[in-house]
Amino acid sequence: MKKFYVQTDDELVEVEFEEQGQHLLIRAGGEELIVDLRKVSEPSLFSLIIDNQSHEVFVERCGDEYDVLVEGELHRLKVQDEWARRLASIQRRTKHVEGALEIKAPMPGIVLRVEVAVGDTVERGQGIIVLGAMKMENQIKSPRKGIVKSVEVEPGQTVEQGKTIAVIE
Amino acid sequence: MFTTFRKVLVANRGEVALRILRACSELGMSTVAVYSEVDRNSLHVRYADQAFLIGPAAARDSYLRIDKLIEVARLSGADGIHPGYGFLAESPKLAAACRDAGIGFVGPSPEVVALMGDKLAARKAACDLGIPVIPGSDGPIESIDHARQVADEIGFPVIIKAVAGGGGKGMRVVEHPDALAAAMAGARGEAAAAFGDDRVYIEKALDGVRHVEFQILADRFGNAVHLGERECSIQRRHQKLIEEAPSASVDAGLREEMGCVAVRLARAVGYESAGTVEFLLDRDKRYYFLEMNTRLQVEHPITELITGVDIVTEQLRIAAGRRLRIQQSDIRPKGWAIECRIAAEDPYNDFLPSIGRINNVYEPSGPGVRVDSAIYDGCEVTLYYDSLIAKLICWGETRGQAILRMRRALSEFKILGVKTNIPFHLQLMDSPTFIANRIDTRYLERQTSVERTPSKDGARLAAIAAAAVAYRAQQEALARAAEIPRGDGTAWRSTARKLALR
Repeated sequence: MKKFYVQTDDELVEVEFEEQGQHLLIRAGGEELIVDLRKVSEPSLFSLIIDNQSHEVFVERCGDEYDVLVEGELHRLKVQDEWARRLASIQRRTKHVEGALEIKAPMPGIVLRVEVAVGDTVERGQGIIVLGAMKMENQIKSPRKGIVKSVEVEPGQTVEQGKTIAVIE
Repeated sequence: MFTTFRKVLVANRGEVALRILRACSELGMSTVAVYSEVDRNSLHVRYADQAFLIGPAAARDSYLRIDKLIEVARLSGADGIHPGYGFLAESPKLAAACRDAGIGFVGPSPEVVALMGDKLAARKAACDLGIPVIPGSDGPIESIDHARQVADEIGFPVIIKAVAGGGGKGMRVVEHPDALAAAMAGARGEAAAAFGDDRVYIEKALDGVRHVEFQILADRFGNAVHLGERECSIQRRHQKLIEEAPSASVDAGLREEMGCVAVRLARAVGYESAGTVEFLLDRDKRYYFLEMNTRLQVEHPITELITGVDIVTEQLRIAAGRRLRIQQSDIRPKGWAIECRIAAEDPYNDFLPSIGRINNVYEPSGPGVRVDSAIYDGCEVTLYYDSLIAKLICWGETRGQAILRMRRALSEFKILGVKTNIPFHLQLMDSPTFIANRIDTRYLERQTSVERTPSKDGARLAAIAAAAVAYRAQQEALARAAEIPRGDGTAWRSTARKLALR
């Protein structure tokens, strides 16, 4: 038996797994469920039959963060097994104050405008640059409050996805 | 005078290029595709009879090169050019170049394209016919003082628009006099960059209005009909997202009146081909001329589904010099049609474009479902072109049935590899205000993009799914680790085990 912890928006769900031939026996929230999980399409489409109820879900993983798209609803979840959970709680206790944060381009594009300068204080959600792609202008925003430490791009420059745009502290 | 084209060059890409190729093919016309370097594998290249490379990815070096298009038409012996929508579809220069080269342009004359492309001239043409227009400036705004004077006269909020307008570029809504100067500068800059023309004008920003447009067809002999209206109020950043035909806010009397107005305008300017006359409709059912689009519209399929008229086929016949074969009394719309524009945009991340390889596509089908798309397994969505990747169009006997069918079709539509706005459309089909037709052009501004309000059942299912996927991944990783031989003196096995457990 193997146990996982799933953090949803409003609760922590314990999910236990047991192999049962082709299926999984899952215990969650005091219920026992027979689950058949198949990946039907790369990279992220799964068919899930839970007690003969058929569902199609998109599951995308980034570390222990999971984005699950069900019937047009997006669920952001954190999934950890017991080991990872214990490790995370140790790290949390020893964690220091966060330092500089690199803001990265979420997609490739052309820098149309830079809306901040070094030394500026930016609020969470404030525009950092405007990136042009697919005929549209897209404002890249600061994920948190801070002071602009450096700006790494200039107008007219083409950037790849993941390129650091600016650093805030 | 010829009465049919033998060979048609499609000066476009994506789903609209396919739409046109299909019509040509059904009419027995040969087809010529043009493509940029990144579009070699695209469906329009593969479905056409002939294909010509016309340049690098950037549209200005390929799909916007009139000289290349004319050259390819000459080389291939094409006697017609269909511009689709976007790119050069509303360029008087392409229409003129076709005329000079003796090639049939599928659209109106260059003079009419130019007239309607100048939004102030179009406004004046409508005004001269006694068609109501939105209160605003009669000419371009000369100075900031002039802007203040006009805005004070008509009252805030106002909207600044580019004379050369289109696609929401150079457009600014101004709520307060203090913001006028900055908005003027911004609109001018954007207009200059997008159209090479920084002239702007001002109109009153009407609140609680709907976007209602009429599809018309007109031939060169003065015959013209309208195919009823489309309701296109669901917009984001002045881009339409969902359209329906007919409009639940237009009754038979109003339809006849507005349709007649649209036809009158088309006749007055000597319009030829398919075109669209756009109006704003207020709560008191007063309508105002907005502009005329001198091309095939993205949302033309909904009109096709309720009228049974193949608009692209009619365009091709008209451009080849034939008479309109439909009279107004032949048009008897049946049922209801809705279109959702499927774009490679992340609805959960501010609708940022999503770029990448589409691994797999599952397109919906079944009764009353039409998909106009150009995506396929393995295709690349690049940053060079529009983010529209597919159009899902559903027909139903009633508006209610069309919405339910759209919901069903959206839930079947699976696109893997890039983020799409399908979840947004699904939520809209469930929205009580949309279902109740309580919509206007600012509907989406009030909806605060996509709300992430997961249901309890959905959250539970998602939790089980995520845990099961995590569990499976871990089991598979452990199984792989077990295959590494033991005791060979390396740390591979223990490292793999640790990684599997991470």
